[in-house]
Amino acid sequence: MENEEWDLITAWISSTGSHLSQYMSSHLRPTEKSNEVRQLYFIDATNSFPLQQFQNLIPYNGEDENKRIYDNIRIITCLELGELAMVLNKIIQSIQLNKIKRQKNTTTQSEKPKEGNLNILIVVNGLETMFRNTRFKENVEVTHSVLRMALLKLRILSNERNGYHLRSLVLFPLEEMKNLSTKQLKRLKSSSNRGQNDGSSVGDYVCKYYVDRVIIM
Amino acid sequence: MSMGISLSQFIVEKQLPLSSGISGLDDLLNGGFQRRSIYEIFGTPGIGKTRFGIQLVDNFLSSDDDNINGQDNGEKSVLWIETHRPISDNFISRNINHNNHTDTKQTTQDENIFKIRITKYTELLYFFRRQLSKKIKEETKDDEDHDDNDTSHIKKRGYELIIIDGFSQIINDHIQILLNRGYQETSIHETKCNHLILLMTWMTKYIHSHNGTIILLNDSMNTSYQQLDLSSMENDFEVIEDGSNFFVKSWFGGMTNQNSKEETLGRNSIPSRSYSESYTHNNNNSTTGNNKRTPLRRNNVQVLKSSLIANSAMGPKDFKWEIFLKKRIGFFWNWLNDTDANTDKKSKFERCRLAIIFDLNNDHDSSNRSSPEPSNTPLSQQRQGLLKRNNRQEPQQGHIDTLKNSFEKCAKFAYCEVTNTFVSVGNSGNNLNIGVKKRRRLDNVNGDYNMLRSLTTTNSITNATTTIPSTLGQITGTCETLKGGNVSNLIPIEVTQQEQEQEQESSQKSNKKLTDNGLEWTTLSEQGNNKGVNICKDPREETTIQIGKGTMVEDDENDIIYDSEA
Repeated sequence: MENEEWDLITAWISSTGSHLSQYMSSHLRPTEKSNEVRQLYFIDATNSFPLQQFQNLIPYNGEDENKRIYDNIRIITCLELGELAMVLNKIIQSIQLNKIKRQKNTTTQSEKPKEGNLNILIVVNGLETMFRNTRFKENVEVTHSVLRMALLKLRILSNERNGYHLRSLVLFPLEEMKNLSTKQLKRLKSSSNRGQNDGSSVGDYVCKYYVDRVIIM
Repeated sequence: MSMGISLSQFIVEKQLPLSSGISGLDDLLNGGFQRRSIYEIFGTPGIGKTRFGIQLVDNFLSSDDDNINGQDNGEKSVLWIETHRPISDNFISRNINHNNHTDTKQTTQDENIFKIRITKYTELLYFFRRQLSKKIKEETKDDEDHDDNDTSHIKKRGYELIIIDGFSQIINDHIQILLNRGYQETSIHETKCNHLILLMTWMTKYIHSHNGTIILLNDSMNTSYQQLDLSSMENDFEVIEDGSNFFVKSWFGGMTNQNSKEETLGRNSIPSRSYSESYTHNNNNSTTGNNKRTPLRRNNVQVLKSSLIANSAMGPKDFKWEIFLKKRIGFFWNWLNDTDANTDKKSKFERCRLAIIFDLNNDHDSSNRSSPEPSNTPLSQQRQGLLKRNNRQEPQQGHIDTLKNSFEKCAKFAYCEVTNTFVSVGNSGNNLNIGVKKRRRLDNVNGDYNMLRSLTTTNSITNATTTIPSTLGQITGTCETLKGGNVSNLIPIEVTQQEQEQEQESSQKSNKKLTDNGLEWTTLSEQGNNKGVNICKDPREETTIQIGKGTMVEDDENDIIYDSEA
């Protein structure tokens, strides 16, 4: 599926490294729209970028095309929601800078800028860890507020189509999905003997209120 | 707050992984211990965790191929954090293999090893926070202050390898302190997870800022607690996507009725049982032809786990902090050589260690998982195939693959007294092969013995091979509980009906003790020269190994006999 066909924010449950790298590589490979710059921001709470699987798909062998792909991937470590918010701000700034640059080029070369020049995919892994770490420092209200703001920023960024195209992918482990009401997960949950009901997890909350689509592998 | 680094920069700056010196283990770890990662190593006492840590220190300091950024060995620094088991100041440098080093290099290495003692959780937490705050301060005044003395330089670089010997003991003590303070036992697991998340967050921050590696050397504990793993449970089902209903077959059905094994997912109950338990039960019923709907009996199989998990705060939420671990490696005992029971009766057997690598993040290759791509096979054929498979008596290959995936990879290694290092030996690699020797007897090691027997009756050595790792861990765990020592010498065997009858007759003469399933321990009338200490005679090496109470020897008929009263 092309990146354009994905929803604004998608939650991917129980993704494996090979599947994720497959999707990321398909996003980053240049298409017929040769002017499009495809970028990937991998925001992670741990060191979990599937480097080996990704290198199997796109080898880092010095070819210009592959090197450009590797240059366009940024790996960012975030362990708290505050850091995530700052990273999102920086992404907004870089988008604005890119926009200004293109406008300058347009005025000098008197060409009309083409839509979708910047195609960005943001992958957020470990949101639940960031939430917990923030919870250690802040109270519940503040933590929830920071989480909401971060997710809203993602949505606002994705909604704007002013010279760029942005999609977000939020990764969650299956264990985070306690109350998700899909048939398969519901059955799995009811058949398990955990018997614990200690509230919604971050994954449940985000999937219920902030994502457009949930993918379960 | 930077915007991270680009992947190309990450690859260029990426340093070579730290070699363990065990080639088989390095291969399984993609070259060794990776930077910016936390690894956990657990094992029984005496298996060599500390020595392995020292070997890592040695390899780290002596590696010359780690100079991607132009740093030399003098800039490397290692921190050894000892906990409740203090070691002497020069213990590490004494045990480092100095054979191949010049005097200058040896001195440099010794100077770069730092050791501190931390016995409390809060101390450890404070240590990492302080190290990070120091790093931030140094970075802010980096341009102003150019003090070039060596100590400050090391402080600035930070420790690139940190080994915490006995990390689990700190956590267990912390849990005990919390319980003594009045924490409720119902919430202690949640508290443990939260505190581990907090600590490991700082650890992760530290290793990311210093491009370092942290190795946690932990004890192991026996537990019969079955941690429910939803992700692996998902793999136990075969799902046909027909748009409306899911037809599911489970090997772990709550009832064992062969005529109606196929159940919909909704009616299927998934007990919190280990693979081996459920698997064993299904196979036992299939071999005996029992078609009655009998409820599964829960076997409390003792399994050796890391004492970071198996402690007084056990629970189902350990995945919350396990995401910070790159890999968990378990050290177990094993035989050095794979043997054929019938031909190698008189062979000498030697022990070795076995490292089993647990993939915590389900990041293994997904080739064995159900493909997201829709199948081209018509639905009716799929269902027919499913029905056929359900009526089979032998285990499915797909299920064996699932079992195989539950334990990832393993590598054998042994201690070489010539070089004073651990080296890779035997059949290192993905498959663990253990010869199942016939006509040997073993105490009732719950379901795993039966699982082995059922696997061997299908004459499928591949199946037996793939499930051995789980068996090994459980056998080791069970026996250690009983006897408190090294028990990998126990090898499961089959007992025929005729042999059982013969042994029952002879047991009346030799005071033998019968157990369930036709297995037995024979009580010896006397043991010579054990001086009150119970001695286990290794049945293969013909040497004695002390394993605590009880005596286990091999008689003339190659049967293992056990004296519990000695």
